[in-house]
Amino acid sequence: MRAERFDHKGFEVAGEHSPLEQFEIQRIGELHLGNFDVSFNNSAVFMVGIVLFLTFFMIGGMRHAAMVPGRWQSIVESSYEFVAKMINDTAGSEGRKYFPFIFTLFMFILCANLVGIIPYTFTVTSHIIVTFALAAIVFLGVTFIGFAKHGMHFLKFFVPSGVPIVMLPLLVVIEVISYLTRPVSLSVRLFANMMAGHTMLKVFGGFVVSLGIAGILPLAFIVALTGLEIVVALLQAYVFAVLTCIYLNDALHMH
Amino acid sequence: MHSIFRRGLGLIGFEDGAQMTSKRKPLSPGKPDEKSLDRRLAAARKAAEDPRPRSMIERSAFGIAARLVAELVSGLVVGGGIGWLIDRLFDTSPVFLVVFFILGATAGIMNVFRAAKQMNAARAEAQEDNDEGSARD
Repeated sequence: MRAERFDHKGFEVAGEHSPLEQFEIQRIGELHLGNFDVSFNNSAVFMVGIVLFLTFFMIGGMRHAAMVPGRWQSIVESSYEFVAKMINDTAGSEGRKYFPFIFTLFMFILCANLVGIIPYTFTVTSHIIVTFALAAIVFLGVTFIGFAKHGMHFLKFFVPSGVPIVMLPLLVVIEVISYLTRPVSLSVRLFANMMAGHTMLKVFGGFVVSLGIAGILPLAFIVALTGLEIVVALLQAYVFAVLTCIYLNDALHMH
Repeated sequence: MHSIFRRGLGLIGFEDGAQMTSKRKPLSPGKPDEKSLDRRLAAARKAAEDPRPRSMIERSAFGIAARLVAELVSGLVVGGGIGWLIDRLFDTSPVFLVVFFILGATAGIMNVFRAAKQMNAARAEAQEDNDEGSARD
């Protein structure tokens, strides 16, 4: 008999051995604020864990900062330099002010992606609500910076130049929609990459068991796929951060 | 006997079989390493002076595909979403949903074109950088 499980609202949830089981949110304790269910869950545990780990990693690496860095210190320093250079290249020197935010964002996503590759862990960034919340913070922040810096002139950003006046209203609407797609495409990209990769790993993991001795082939494939997943984890964190810089650059310099 | 042994060693790659027992010469110090250091230094200096962004976004075909699909789909989602919200607010279903869906599709396609243009520019830049003239695809 097929084991069926239901969540508290009666929706069927993924079965015990489904490749999607890894994305399940499990509540740890109950906590309600008004009508909202704000119970602590496995995703939140990993988020808190990642933040604690990164804090330890950054502070611990620089605690005995030496002129000639050791291994730990040089990892911390090179991640600092990587992000600093990225901001400088894409958003110019004016973007340096926003380094703390972008660095935090990059390190959080990177760490979440990499932690997710370890078996039996939860991948925080494979849930669109998490990535969308991050993208929404970026989007709202960047829009706010744009208005704070340029005032109402920022609205010119939505007016394409060199267009006949008749076409203008239509094009402005399209430009506004195109601007609003930014948080969506930003979050969908990260979420889709993480979720697709992890589902694929689990599907092939299922083949290993069901194929018996021939399962060595999918096992070899998983090894290769895990390597690819590490690249994807790095690349998607980078893409998220670099797009944040590009949006920041748009808001600062209005191209 | 000895000479045959020597020739045999020569055949399998030792240029001088007799020297085999002697200690290997240390890598010649000075010139070659200095040269490569100079080369790397020059490259690093050039990179530091270059203000252009070194974009490594989406080098792989899968990355490009994912990017373009995300752009197009998010246009449709946002356009449809706005239309649906307006319809719900003013009870005009489905007028605005249709209109904004089309506008969203337009915005999505426009974003795809922009992304493609940007990728082309990045590729042209990368091509320019390694002027060894690697094969174009």
